Parts: sequence; structure tokens; C-alpha cells
Amino acid sequence: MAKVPKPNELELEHGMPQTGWMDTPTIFRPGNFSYPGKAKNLKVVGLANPREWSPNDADWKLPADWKNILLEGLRERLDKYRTLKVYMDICVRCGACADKCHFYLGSGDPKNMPVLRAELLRSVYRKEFTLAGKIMGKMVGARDLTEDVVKEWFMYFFQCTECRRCSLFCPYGIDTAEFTIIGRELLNLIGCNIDWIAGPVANCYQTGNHLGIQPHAFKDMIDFFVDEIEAVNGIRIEPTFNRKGAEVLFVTPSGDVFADPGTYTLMGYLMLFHEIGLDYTWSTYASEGGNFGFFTSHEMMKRLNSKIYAEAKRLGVKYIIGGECGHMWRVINQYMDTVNGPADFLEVPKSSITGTTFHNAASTKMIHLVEFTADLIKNGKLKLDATRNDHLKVTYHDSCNTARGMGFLDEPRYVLNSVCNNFYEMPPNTIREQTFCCGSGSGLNNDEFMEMRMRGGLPRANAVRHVHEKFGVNALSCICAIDRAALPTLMNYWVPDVTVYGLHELVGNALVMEGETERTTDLRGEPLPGMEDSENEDI
Amino acid sequence: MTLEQHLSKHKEKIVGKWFDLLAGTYPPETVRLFNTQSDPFANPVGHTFRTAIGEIIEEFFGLNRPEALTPLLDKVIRVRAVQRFSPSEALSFVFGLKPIVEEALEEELAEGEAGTEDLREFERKVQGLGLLAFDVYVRCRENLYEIKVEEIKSNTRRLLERAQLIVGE
Ligand code: SF4
Ligand code: SF4
Repeated sequence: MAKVPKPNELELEHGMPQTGWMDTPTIFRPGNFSYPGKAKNLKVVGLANPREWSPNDADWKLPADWKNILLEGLRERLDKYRTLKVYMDICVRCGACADKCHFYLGSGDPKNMPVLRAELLRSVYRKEFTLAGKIMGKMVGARDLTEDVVKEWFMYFFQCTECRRCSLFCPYGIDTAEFTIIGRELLNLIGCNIDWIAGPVANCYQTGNHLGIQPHAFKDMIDFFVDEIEAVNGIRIEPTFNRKGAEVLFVTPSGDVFADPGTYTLMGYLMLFHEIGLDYTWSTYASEGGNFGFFTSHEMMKRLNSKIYAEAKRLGVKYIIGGECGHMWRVINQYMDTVNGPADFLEVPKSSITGTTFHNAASTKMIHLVEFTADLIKNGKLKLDATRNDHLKVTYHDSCNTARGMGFLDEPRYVLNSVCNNFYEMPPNTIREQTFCCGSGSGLNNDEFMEMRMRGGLPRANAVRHVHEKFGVNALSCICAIDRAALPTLMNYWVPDVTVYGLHELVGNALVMEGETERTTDLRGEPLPGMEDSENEDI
Repeated sequence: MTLEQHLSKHKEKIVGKWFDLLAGTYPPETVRLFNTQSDPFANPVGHTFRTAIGEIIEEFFGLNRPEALTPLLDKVIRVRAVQRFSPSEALSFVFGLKPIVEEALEEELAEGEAGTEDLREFERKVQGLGLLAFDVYVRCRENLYEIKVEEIKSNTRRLLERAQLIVGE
């Protein structure tokens, strides 16, 4: 007869390993890893070792000289990136970063502590590149590079969203995201990557956007929203595409064009630009603001990013405005000028409506829509009726990339406070620079990774639940396309009464447009406060 | 004195032990965090567990209403349902309550103030709690599958709508 465990035996069962980290094997289970990159997608952009494989297989079909490739790759990057070299040597293992990672907080798995995540790579560095490590090995935290180590890298570098929260707490400013970025870059040298990144990269390279939507369909979708807006307020908007000589090129993540609720945010963009009479154009070539190349390698990021300047040059615009996105802005703010600049064919962005010059973008020539809108409001150029958002009690999630990556903290709050009357902040150690990641950034927002995403998003959701219970918050606003895709799912699991909104959707709700018919609904077709009855009349 | 009265005497101790048992299913570093970080936002799981365990005991030793226990159990189980536990590992803490209570009542049992019949009755109650926990766990997992489907739909809904493959909801 099978032995039935007694209760006191049950309590001894641990789901979590109790061994030291070097001795804890990496186990791939459904929900804790993303599916590997498909061969066809790797081939499109010439990535190494295209093949069909699975992390669950014992044999990962690595190239014969994989070890050499990785070590040479690491050597090259240690020479190239000074930060990497410094970060390798200066960590004193003080542990200040250890409990700051959302993945660690939500999973309880020590290898999700930033210091250990970095140690996965650093231990190999010690062994191969330092004298002490060569001689004393494990005693000084050094270990050989084996296939098991590669598997561990794959697991944990694709369980980090490169959010940089940990770096904020490190007394030395060590940025563990850089370890992840380099770790993924190395893994790509031997063909170990994930399809949720490789697929969009291939699509973006071939067709111009993540979903691989062709130009006519892209235009068609935007025309569809034009109809929707007309149904809401009677205003017919006429956007232009690939128009030479426009003053501004507008680029946004394609998620806004195809995925709810980003689509409502996009309606907000269209309404705003129409109302102020901005001379701008969409592009079906630079039809993607997002850049999953950034989650692949520096080289791939550069390749995918280059089309924005190329298109700006071709169309002869003066400057570029970018839509609400997170990682897109990290790339623009931190890398674009260096890798694809100088954009000397463009002018320093100057708002033709307010006359404000954006000196902060003097070299990239590209500004974030939220700063542009904040400037419009500050100069009294918009007529806003915030009561149209009175059915919402709003809180704001700082996207890691806009907040920590570019110090973009007050502009979104300024806009929010202008377009809605009920705004509540989450607790201080969960917002602004200290914001908690959505748990799905850096190309990890795929559905097979759902369990891990729910763990990673737990600290964020926990703070949302707090304001939901305390103030009755029912709306979570954000300025990032990945947030708009991932947070609704996170809320569905943890705080189901909270709905996710892009900031410019709320702007679109509040915007009073010249010649509009009486507004009875918001952009989602929900009745505005006080208009519930007029809805019924329609039915 | 009834068993309930004995139990409420030891409530605090039982809550503490039960929390430790639950926390003990995590690695030592994490147990330390659960126990030392008092800010609820810097220690979301530890804080949620500690609060919920107290609330569950309060209700369980008191009115023991399934409709009140379900949302309280949900607080703990919703977390464990997405962590790397098997279903039995995720729920084993519920049954761990039995030996904890037995130990807490050691004196009363020795002195005959509480009898084995009382204990058996309590064990039956724990079994009921276990079944309730099972329902909650399954609900959380179902929820996980539902949100996956919902997300995939949202990602492409507009395209399908536009292609008139589906009619707007
Ligand atoms: S960058 Fe973010 S996800 Fe990565 S280790 Fe640091 S805190 Fe964790
Ligand atoms: S806070 Fe900095 S120095 Fe301390 S362990 Fe983390 S990375 Fe190392």
C-alpha cells in the first residue's frame, strides 16, 4: 500500500531549495522560463546557432566551441565596457541590493537577489580572469564555466527585467541590469535566447514593427480609430502618413496601434494633435518605437533603432516626438545619440504651439510626448474638463525606464493632476525612483512565463492593492506600452477591480475639442459621470 | 472550559508557530527577510502572510465561517499558487496546524482539561479548512489560465475586430 504522509511529515516538505546557491541545480518548469528563439527568427537577423531546442532538453545543441565563444565574448566586453570591468571587481557583497528585486521579493528564490544574479557571471569571471580565482577556486567564489552554468544564466538573465531598482540601493552604484544585458548578449553568441524577443526583433527588422503588420494594415488600424473618435465626439481627424515636409515625426510603440488598452491611448494622441493643429506625420516605416533589440545585444538595438533617424531624415522633419513607452525611452535617452547620431539634420525640438525649446533633447532631437503635453498645459493651450474622469480614482505607476532610466518623474504627475480630480500616490518606497517593476519588462511579457510574471509583479500589485483598499482607487495609469499590456493581467490576478489606463487616454477623455458634439462617454464607450441616463436612452 | 477557550488562551503562540512553519518552506535568506523587515511594501510576502495567518486563526477559532475564511486563505494561497511549489507543497501548511495545536495544548491534555475527543473534533475542523484551501488553490490556478487567455485576446483584439473576424464586444 502506498504510504500516506502524516501531517508532521508534510510540514517538512520544502518547495524551495535549502542548499547553497552554487550547489542548487537549475530546474526548468512550466511557468518559470520563456520559450527559446525559433530558428527562422534567428536566421532573419543572422543570430548565431539557429536550431529547434528546448530548455527542458538535456542537450541544448550548443556549438562545439561554445565555451571558447563565451569566454572570448566576455573578454571582448570587459575591454569594451569599462562599467562591466569595474562592476566585476568592486562588489563587496554587502547585501544592500539583495532584497530590492521584485523577482526576489515575489519568488523568495535567492538567485533572484541582484547580488547573486551578478555572481552567476562574476564567478566565471573570477575563475578565468583573476589570479586568485584561478588558484583558489571556490574559496574565493570562482567556478568553471560548464553547460550547467550556461543553463543557470539562461534561467536567471531571463528572470531579470533590467529595471535597475537594485542599483539605486548599491553604495557603489553597481547596476545589475548591466550584468543581465551582457549576460543575454553572451548567451546570444551561442544561440540561447527567447522567442518573445527574437520574434519581435525579426518582425521589426523585416516589416518595421513587433507584430509584423504591413504598412497598409498599420494605416488601416489608425483610420479605424479615427472612426471611433468620431463616434465619441463627432470630430473627424485626418492623420497623415509618410508625409514629407511635416514639422514633426511621431513614433510610438506598435502596441498602441494593435493592443488594448494601448489603442485608447493612441486615440488620445490623435485627438491632442488634431486639437492643437500640430504639423506632424506618422510613418509606416518607423512604425515601431519599441526596441527588443535592446534585450538582445547592443548591436541589435542599434540596428533596429537606426530607422527612426533614417526616416526623420528622409521625410525632412524638424524633430521627433515619441509616444508613451518605457524601454523605447531608455534606448533613446541613453544610447540613440551615441549609436546612431549625431542627428545634425534635425533641429533642437521647439514647440510651435508654445514656443518652448526642449534643451534637454538638444542632442537627440527627440522628446517624450508627456513633456510636450505638460508644456502645452502649463502654457494654457489646452481646454480640459477633468470632471470627465471623475468616475476614476487614479494612481500612477512609474515605468522603470522612464523613472529610473531618465528621471521622468514630475511631468506625468503634472499632466495627471490636470486631467483628473482624484489622484492618489502609492507608498513612497514603491514609486518614483524606487518604483517597482511591472514584472514583465525587457521582453518577458509572454504568456508561458505567467507564473514568474505574477511573482515579479507582486510587489507592484501589493502597493496598488493598498491604495485600492485605502482610497478606493480603481484606475492604474502609466506611460509605458509594456505596462499597458502587462498590468491589466497583473491586476486581473492580484487586484481585479483596478483597470489600466494610458496617460493620454485620460487626456483624451478630458480634452474639450473645438466643435465637438456633447460628450456622453469616455474613449472606451463607458458613460461619463452624470451621463449614465443618456446612455440608456440610446438603448 | 471548551476547547475554543483553551485555544484562544494560546492564540498568539499558535499564530507565531504557524507563521514560522509557513515561512520555513522558503530558503533561510528569505525567512530572515520575512522576520526582520517591518515595512509591508519592502516585505510584501512576509507581511501578507503574517497578517493573513493571524486573521485566519481569529476566524477559524471563532465563527469558522467558510465565506469569511475563503478570502483570508486566498491571501496566502494566491501567492503560493504562483510560486514554485507543487500543489501539495503549497497547501501543506494548513495541515501543519494540527501538531502545532496539539503541542500548544500539551498541558491541558496532560491534566485532562482537554480530551482526545476534543482533539479529534479539532482535527476534523482542520480537514474542513484543508478542503476549503484546496478550493481556493484551484480557483487561483484557474484564474491564472483565464488571465493568459484574456491577455492573448487583448493583444490582437483590434486586429481581429478590424478584419471583421469578431464583432466588437
Ligand atoms: S535590474 Fe531589476 S530585475 Fe534585475 S536584478 Fe535588479 S532589481 Fe532585479
Ligand atoms: S549593494 Fe552593491 S556592493 Fe552591495 S552586494 Fe549589492 S551589488 Fe554588491
